Parts: sequence; structure tokens; C-alpha cells
Amino acid sequence: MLTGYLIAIVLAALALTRLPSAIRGRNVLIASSAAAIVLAFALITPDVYAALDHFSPIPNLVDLIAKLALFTGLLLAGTQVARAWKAPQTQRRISGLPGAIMFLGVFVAEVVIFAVVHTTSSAPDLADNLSSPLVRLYSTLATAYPAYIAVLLLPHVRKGLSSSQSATKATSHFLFVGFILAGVRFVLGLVTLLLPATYYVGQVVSGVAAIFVALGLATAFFARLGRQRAARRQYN
Amino acid sequence: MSVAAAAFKHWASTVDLPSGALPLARMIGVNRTTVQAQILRGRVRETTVIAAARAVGVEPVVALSSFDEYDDLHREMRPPLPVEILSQVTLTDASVELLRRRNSTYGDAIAAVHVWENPPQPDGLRNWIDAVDPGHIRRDLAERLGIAPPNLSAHITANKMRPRHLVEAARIASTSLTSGLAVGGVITLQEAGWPEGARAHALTHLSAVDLNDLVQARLAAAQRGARRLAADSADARRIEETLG
Repeated sequence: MLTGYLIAIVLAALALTRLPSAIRGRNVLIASSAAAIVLAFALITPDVYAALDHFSPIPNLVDLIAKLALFTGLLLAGTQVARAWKAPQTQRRISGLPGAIMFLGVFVAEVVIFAVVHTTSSAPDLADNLSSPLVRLYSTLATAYPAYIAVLLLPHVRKGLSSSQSATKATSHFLFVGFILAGVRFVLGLVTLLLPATYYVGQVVSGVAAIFVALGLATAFFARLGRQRAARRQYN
Repeated sequence: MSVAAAAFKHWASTVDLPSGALPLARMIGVNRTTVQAQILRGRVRETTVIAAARAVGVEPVVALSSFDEYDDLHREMRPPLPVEILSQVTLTDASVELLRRRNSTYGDAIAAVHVWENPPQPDGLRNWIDAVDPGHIRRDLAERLGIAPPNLSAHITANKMRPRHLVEAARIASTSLTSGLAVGGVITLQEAGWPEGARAHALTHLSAVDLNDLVQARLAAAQRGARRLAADSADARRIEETLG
């Protein structure tokens, strides 16, 4: 429970650093991605979830909204990472037609399973009903989209690990670990299909993966600021 | 690979080094926790052995030869081959010599301030491996060490090879077993048995054609490095602009 709050707070803190630039119209896509991911993690913190679900016409609709926010955030971040690493093919697979099919395919499948499952209790990821195979499938399927984005971007980010530029190296390391963890989360999701108890480990992995990705993006952000300041000092 | 901690302790006692980690670390100028951790793990790194040997005035090569892992090191120490010596000549060294031959006034002025850069030099390992390669040194070395060839190449490119690997490379190349340790910066050129002024001597005896080739090769390497740096810098800027 505490982990969920901690993850949301860390992500929100990292996202807030983007706010001034975003207001000036700089890298709005990345700022939006950060906001969407923060929203997704904030929505599934126990108190927020319970409060919002109380007003929701459909039980656990908040979870579906959180998943949509997460997928949107990943779509935006993935597109920008592919663009940053000059990978047009990968960018197409994320935000082009194949990417859109994957996005919609996973989300529609989630909506269908959500509609079929009848839960009475209010819990993020329908986690109170993990004994139901359909609920476990619902949870696992939600990890497939982050893993899809991660697998596409990993080879590009890996190249940055050997860069001679320390900021690129640091950004790549954080993103690399985050994407590896997204893959691990999917594997854990598959394990959850058979062993429901692994679900909670998977949730922590999800949060840690998000933090690593956010740290990678924050490193790029601070590196840009540093470069700008250095350039200003040089010309003053 | 490193040497057994028990063997190190025994050797340390023979050269009157203190047995305790703290006095030992203080005497050899290595961090106490580093020494302690190595002894606790049961393996002492070669760099620690070398630091200890230097502290008591023992030749590092002789000291390393006291251990089973390096027992033939001193026995197989020979003068370096001319190609090995030239492999440790930098672009600056070669350019100074070229300039000296073209214009003695400029050459003498630069020679007065010219400092020979000691290994490890950027690209020094790669130059040495290429210089002593009898044919398939990378493949043979990877096989002998049981590591994947791309990993070995990465170590060579990063200019970081383990002492044991450097010795094995020298063994495959049938050269002095200490040469690899010297170019890797594990021991000094003098400790490896390289004559004083070997590089200056080798350079001055190069023909004009060979000297031009050497300058050209070093310049090509410098250009590769500069291009890579420029590409990395452009990539970094794009990544920061897109994600930052």
C-alpha cells in the first residue's frame, strides 16, 4: 500500500520538473506522457481509487481509466524515445498503424474482459478477485502493452549504453533497466496466470520500472538544462 | 583472475609485509576496505600484489611470479618486439618525430617539451593486439579465456583487459609475457623489461615511409575517435532535445 503512494509521489515529483518547460510549449508530448503516467499510478493508490470508485456508475471503472492513461502515457513516451534514438521503423510500430492496432487491440480486449467479469468489490486491477482466471488474464494483458513498447525500444536504448557522452549513457541506463523491468513484469504476469501470489511482486516491479523510465527522461531533461546553462555561460 | 589470498599472505610474510589488513593497506597505499574485502573473498587482485611489491622494493614481475597463476611470468619476460614498441607510440610522439625530420628548428623546439605518454594510452591495447597478432589472436584468446568474441572486442575497445587476459594474449602472440601487462598499464614499461628510451629509439630508426605510415595510422585512429565523439555528441543533443 505504501509502495503505491511512494511510486506515485516519486513519479509526480519527476513530472513536476517538466511543468515550466511544458507551459512554455517545450516537449509537450513528454510532459503529457509524464502526466498521464502519474495519473495512472495516482488513480490506483488505495484512497484515491476508493474515493473515485464510490462516485463511479460502474464499479472499478477507475481501473480501466487508469489503464487507458498508462497506455496513452507509454504511447507518447515510446514515440518520443524512438524519435530521440532516430528509429523511424520503431516509431511507426509504436504510433503508426501497427502501434495503433496494438494499442487498441490490448485496450479493447481489456474492456471486453472487464465487461465479462462481474466483481462486487472495489480494487485496482480487480485484485480482490485474483482467484478468477479471467481477472488474472485481465491483469496480465495490461502488462503486454508496456512490454511491447519496451521490447521495441530496448535495442535502440542499448546502443546508448556505450556512448561517450555521460548524460546519454545515464539516460540509456535508466531507460534500459526500466524497459527490462517492463519485460520482467509481463513474464511475472504470465506466471500470475498460474500462481496468483506473484501478482503483488509484479505490481512492485511495475512501479520500479516506471520510476526508472521516469529517471531516464529526467536525466535527459537535466542534461538539456545543463547544456543550455553551459552555452549561456560561454556566451556571457 | 587474481591470486589466492592464502598465497598472498604467505608471500607477504616472506617480504616482511604486515599481516593485518590495516597496516598492510597503509603501507602499500591501497584503501583498507579494498584490501580487507579482497582478503575476505579469498582472492587478491594483481594490482594489490603489485602495489605491495613496489612498497617493499620487490620487482612486480618477480612478485607476481611467486604465485601459481603467474609462475612463468618472470621466466618468459623478454625484450619487447619492435612492433610492440611502435604500438605504444602516440600520434603526438610520431608527429614530433615527423616534424623534427622535416624542420629541425620546429622539431627541436617541440622535442624539448615533448613528454612520452605512459600506458595505458587511448587505443593502446588495440594497437598492441593488432601489432602482435599472429593471425587469429582475438579468436584464439576468446576461445582460451572462454568468453564470447564480442565481449573480448568490447574489452579491447574499452582499453580494459584483466591482467590474466593480457598475459594470455602475450602467450598466444609468442611475445614477452609482461608486454601486455605494460600496455594495459598494470605495470610500467620499465618493470616489464622495456629498455629506457625504447620508443624514441624505435621512432628515430624508422624509415620515412614507415614513419609516414605510422602517423597516417594514428591520425586515422584519431579521426575515428573524433567522428565517434561528434556522432555521440549529436545523438546526445537530439536525445536531450527530444526527451528533455
